[in-house]
Amino acid sequence: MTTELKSQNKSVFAGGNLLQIKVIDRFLRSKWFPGIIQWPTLLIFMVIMFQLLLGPESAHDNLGTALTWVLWWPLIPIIFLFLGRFWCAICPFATINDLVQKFVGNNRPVPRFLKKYGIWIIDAFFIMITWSDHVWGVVENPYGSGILMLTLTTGVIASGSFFERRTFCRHVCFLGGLAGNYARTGMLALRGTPEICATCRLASCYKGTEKAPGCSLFEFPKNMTSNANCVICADCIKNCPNDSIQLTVRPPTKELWFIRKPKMEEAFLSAVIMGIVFVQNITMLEVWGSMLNWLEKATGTTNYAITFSITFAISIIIPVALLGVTSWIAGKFNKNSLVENFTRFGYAIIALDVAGHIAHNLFHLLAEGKSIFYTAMALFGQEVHGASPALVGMDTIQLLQFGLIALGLVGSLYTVYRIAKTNHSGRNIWGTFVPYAALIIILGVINFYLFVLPMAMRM
Amino acid sequence: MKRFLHITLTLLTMIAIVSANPSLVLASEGDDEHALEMEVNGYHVTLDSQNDWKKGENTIVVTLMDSMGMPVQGADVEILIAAKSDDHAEPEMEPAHDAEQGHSSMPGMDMGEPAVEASDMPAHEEEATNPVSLSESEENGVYVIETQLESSGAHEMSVMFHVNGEMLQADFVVDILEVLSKAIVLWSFVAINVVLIASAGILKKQAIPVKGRQ
Repeated sequence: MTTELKSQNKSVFAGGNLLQIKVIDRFLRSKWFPGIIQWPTLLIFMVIMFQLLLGPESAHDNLGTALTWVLWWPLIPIIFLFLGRFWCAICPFATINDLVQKFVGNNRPVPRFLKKYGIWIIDAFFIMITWSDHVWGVVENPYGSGILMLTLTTGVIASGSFFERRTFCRHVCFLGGLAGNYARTGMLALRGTPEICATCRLASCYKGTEKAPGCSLFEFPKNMTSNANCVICADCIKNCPNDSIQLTVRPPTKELWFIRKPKMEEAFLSAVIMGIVFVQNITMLEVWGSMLNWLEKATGTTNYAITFSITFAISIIIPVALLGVTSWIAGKFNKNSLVENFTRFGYAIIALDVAGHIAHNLFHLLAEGKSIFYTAMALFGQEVHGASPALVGMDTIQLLQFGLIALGLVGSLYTVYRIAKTNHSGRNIWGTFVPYAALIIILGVINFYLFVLPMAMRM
Repeated sequence: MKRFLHITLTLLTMIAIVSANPSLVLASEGDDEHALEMEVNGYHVTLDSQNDWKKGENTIVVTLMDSMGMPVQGADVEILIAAKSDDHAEPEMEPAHDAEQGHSSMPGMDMGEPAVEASDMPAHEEEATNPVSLSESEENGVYVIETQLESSGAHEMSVMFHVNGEMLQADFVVDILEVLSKAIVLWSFVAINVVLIASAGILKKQAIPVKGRQ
């Protein structure tokens, strides 16, 4: 909320403006930012693409696979938590978009259907990509991962060629959708100072100046109430002639407590992500083989596409249905419709989503982390055989996973409480809180249980 | 909104159906479109590939059931794979016992002992000139081998198995699908992107300028 920020002279730990710190202010206003991080990232991306498409065929030996799925993918939700969508500012796909746009961009307005259905499209892409990963083995197959990256590259080239700003990142990118949801739990918030913005008629932050382009994700800091579509690229900081922009540190999940205009599709995505976290965990469990056998007998087919699709659909339907049922029960107390409750309280699951996602990927990062080093060594002819890829032991990983789920559980429960408190009064607060608290606890317990079971490796 | 959801769900369903049922094989009736099935002397033989019978690495799975529908355990199972020639029936890799005994290509013919016994082939094999042994999996009656199918098109696959002292053979014809080479796929992406950029370059003069964008 714009009213959250008013602190030119407050300590940064008390919600003060980080731009008060000269080093940060200078760095963000520098013409080298974010290029100094963006261009090396693009170079690394090119190495990854080369490895994925033309490197070793076995994921175990491929540096591209290790960097993408063992390093980057586990780190990305952690980045969202601490820095919001900053990754999107330096994302190589966005850099390619900008590069193509600079030379041949037609800068046409975003198609209306993308504006209207963008998040549903992102939801559909997210589901499709997860599904195809399992059915066609994208992660386990370097070439498959490379084709996924090439497809995304083609998407951003098409978007950058014809449409303005970062249309792809805002309305199509599945990771952008995930990032948008997760960034709401993020600890960085960028906003305009309401008193200053109220008198501003220039809108340089949105339109751009000779110093920097206008907001690449079509945000107007004057009206921003969410960091879901702010990539902390600092273009608005450079462009604002009134130094109105503030960058503050806030408690994780705080944004979720005050969603002004909740959207059904975003609430739906948060429930879908929970389902996807379930399915990612389930298919990595050692008992997955037995479950698959049972499913094959029950359905009478050994076709993995069919058996997995059934598992996938069930995993996604469970959290969505549970959220629906809970919303219906809560509606008995707060007199809101199922859709209203679903839309408003769906956001509370995001904290648990982020925790589950980080916890799941922590296994890959910590149990397979050394594979990044080994595959990089192999690139220079130094083969490492038989060495463990683990950075820490399984006990430590499991402890961290449980800790993360506990934090996510607390975050989601508190978010439910705050949303209930903001939107209801008196007994309705608890009548609304209790069913959702029960839902969050159920989802948390499922997560706990899944992390108790032994997992299989990715590399 | 509902219409969009309907279209999205329909598309997802169609993709799932297409993915689940690629018609790659001259398959017989059965639940799995990739699997070939045959009855030999009361034994039910199923031949399948976990890789959808595509050119390249395939994990071939043979399932043996007896007349009671019970899995046949502990059998010696071998497979001989030969690319089928269009103009004459001479396979490019003919097993010795076929040559000696005038092997009929009719499915389900009982065979005598093969002249060439299964060798100690490693589990990961290239397309074989001799029959290669399948190893029994943890699942009863299921035998598997990883093999490299070097060419596309019709292949003759003879599954030979020893049960109760006699050797039975099931001959299948499998159509191996040509997989697009990496080069074709990569150059296709290059071509699409070049076309996109070139088209954008040509249309740029008509584009709406956005102030501030460089």
